[in-house]
Amino acid sequence: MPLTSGLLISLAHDERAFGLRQALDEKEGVTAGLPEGRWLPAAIEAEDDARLRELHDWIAALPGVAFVDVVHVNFDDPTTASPTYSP
Amino acid sequence: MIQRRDFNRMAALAAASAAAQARAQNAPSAAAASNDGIAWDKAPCRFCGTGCHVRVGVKNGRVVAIEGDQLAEVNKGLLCVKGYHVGLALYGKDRLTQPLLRRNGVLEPISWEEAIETISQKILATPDQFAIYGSGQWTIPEGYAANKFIKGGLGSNHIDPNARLCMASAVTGFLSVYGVDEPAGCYDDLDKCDVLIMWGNNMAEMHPVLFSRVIDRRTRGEKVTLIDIGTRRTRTTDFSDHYLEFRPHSDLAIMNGIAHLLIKKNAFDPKFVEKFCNFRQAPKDPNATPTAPLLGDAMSFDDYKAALEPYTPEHVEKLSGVPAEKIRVLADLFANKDLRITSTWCMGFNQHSRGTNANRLCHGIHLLSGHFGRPGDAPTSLTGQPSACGTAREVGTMCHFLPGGRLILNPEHRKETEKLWNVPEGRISPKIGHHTVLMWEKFCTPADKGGDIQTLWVQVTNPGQSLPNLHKLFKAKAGQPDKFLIVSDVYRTATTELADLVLPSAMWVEKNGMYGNSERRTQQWFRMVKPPGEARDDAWQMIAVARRLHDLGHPGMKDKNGRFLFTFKNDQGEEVPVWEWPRYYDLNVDKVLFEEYRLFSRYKHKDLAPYEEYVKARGLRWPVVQQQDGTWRETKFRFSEFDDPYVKKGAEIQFYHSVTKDDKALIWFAPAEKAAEEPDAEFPFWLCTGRVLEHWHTGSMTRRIPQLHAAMPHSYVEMHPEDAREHGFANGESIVVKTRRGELKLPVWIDGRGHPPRGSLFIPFFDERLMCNDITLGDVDPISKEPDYKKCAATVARATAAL
Repeated sequence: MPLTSGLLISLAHDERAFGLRQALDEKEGVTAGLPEGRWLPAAIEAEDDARLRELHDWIAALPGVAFVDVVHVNFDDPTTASPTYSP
Repeated sequence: MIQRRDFNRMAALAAASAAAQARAQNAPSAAAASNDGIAWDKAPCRFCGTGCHVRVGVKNGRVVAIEGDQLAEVNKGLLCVKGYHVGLALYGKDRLTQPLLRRNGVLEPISWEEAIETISQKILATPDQFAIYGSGQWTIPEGYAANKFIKGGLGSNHIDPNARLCMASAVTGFLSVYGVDEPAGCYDDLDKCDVLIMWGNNMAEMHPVLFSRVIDRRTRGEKVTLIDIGTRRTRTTDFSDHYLEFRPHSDLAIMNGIAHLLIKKNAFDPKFVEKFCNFRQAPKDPNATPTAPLLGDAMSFDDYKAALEPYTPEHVEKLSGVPAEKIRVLADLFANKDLRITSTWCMGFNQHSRGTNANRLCHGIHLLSGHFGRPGDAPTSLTGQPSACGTAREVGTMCHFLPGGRLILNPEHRKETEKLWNVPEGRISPKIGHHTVLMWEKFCTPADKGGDIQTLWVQVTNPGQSLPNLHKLFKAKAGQPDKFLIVSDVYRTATTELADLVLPSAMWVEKNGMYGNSERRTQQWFRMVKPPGEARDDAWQMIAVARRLHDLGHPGMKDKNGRFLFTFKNDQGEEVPVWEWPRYYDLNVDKVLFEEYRLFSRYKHKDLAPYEEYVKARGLRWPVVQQQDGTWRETKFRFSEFDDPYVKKGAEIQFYHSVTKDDKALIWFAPAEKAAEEPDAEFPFWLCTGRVLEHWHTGSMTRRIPQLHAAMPHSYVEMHPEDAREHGFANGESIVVKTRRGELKLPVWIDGRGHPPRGSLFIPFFDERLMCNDITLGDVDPISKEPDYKKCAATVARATAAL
């Protein structure tokens, strides 16, 4: 089961933001929602946490993005391994 | 047909869309409802003191999803990387699930009955040598139960929380300036300030949601000037307009420099000072009375001015390394009454061997300049633990406090408390108990050498990793068979390694709870899932031991009327034996304990509302006062007439718990002093310790979360590239960091996340395999008794080379 996160993207006051939506739509694993003012919702999904983080970082680095906050995480994933006490 | 992955994606997008709408409308909106069999409820996050609210999604008895709570004013739907993984903290595969007793060096499973009996017998054997070490992660009812048990039942004050290690200097700062603990302002100040000064406070990583709240103002086009005053560059620096890097321990000089300029340029606020302030300095005889260091000696304005005379910008530059011009910039900001200035601080001021004075001086420059009492004008300390304020400070689980801001040393306060607890007069001991460092020192010292603590019960904290100078204050317990350590926790930790008895605890949404965050906000949640195995609530553990002692005839476990100290009755007036675990949730024990505790809250005007009001709210900030129409109103800005109902009409500002009993706050003078241990030829580096974004404190929960563990798998030492080059260290190479307390081998991180200046090192404390507190100093502030974790002298060497 892929991991999913809901992101709140804060857009900068910048004309470069115009190309942002297209970039998101073309990226695999990213589903952008409808913008509300200067805030754009998005869902990202990936097979593992590292890939999810890559997507997050990729969005944060896009021109016109001021900040990316995570607002939802689903971890209904029984395959996740947890580290134990290891002095 | 909709697939599960589609559902998850839609749920994530719905939550993000709700957050976007809330941001755009600048108003909370209910989060998108989702079904798929998931039941949602609210809870504050388990981790830091910010007090974000999360929506917890539960399915089939398991927490399966987390969302930021759109209805929560604190976080407005946002969470940090720890917060959105908080649900996984419950599901580490090595959860403790049954009581364990050490026999022949091995922890073996035992029954709860045997565990309760063992503790009871240990207490009965040496009741005055029993101590409780608690936590700012205790829920309010848990802390209240422990406090009542030991102070009102056993007649001993040997109880202290781990908040001694993080917030004690903030407490003594507030008490000695305003006569009452905790900030006057709140997070709303972050929305209103023109200037935010972060004093030794890496807010971007330690309180990321609050920082995001400020950064969000910038994305809206508002101007807010960020000033980072620190000893190393961090993520906070990257967002700041000004970065002032100071020599460790010289922050007091900087604040004196600001005050000096405000007076020199006649740019302070004489009307505010005249009307609302008195001046104080350290008492000539700090031992004259126990409270002398908090009361201080009066000084005139002229004396204050003279004391500040040496702190010219140039002199401060020499002491601190901060250019004189930057000191002038700060003073000019404070001189401008058109600006709103908020100061925040956390461990930089508090974990400081002059922490009380650092707190006092920060309040002082706000008072001197009149930057106080308007939204956005506030000196505000931030807490590290979710209920350091609510439980450790307000409930009074420190060794010198009674609930609601009362003092052990005050006979009237003891009498009031005895009355509210319905225990015989004289039950509460007039003698202050051992504070944290002393408690552990006494526990680790053999009885025949003055070690007067024999049995120590730790709940909800990990002192085996978080105490300073661990060899002396914790590890010395090893090999002392007459010392008995009881640990209630959810996972194995460095503390359970030396425990004689381990009790498995329920955590967070596995039990009912209440927390109190940094801005005086009391929060409530209900149990949502059951704890694993035989894990049980911490409050139940305390009440069960109290009951066993009662049954064994300990007189302290009865009140004046011969009733058990923890008597609970249901709505029909029938007594419920909650000490029997199957009956514990027959009624809401939290509610009963909270309603009893609430009676204590009026004395210091920290009024709490009835329990049910918190059920409805995402927290309420005290004082919460009932209105004529019966509703309950929280208070955002204390001491200010426009908001605080306890301020007299026409007073404008009233410090109604004033130390000097004249409704005035105190502006203190305190000199800049040398640190307890400074670099020298043998140990030429400053060593600072602290936290990282991904892990919370000792990492006992966050290291069990795979995503967080993967993001930050181990500790490291940050070093300046030039220092590394001089020593021939390559990035990632294992090196040895040594202090006078010991040494630690760990990888060096050059130009990593943080950037210490030359001659400085930084090590985070989350990693149980690389415990930096093996080598920290542990020198304490003489007033607050809080240790300094932020500076000691160290040296470095290649791991293979002899030091």
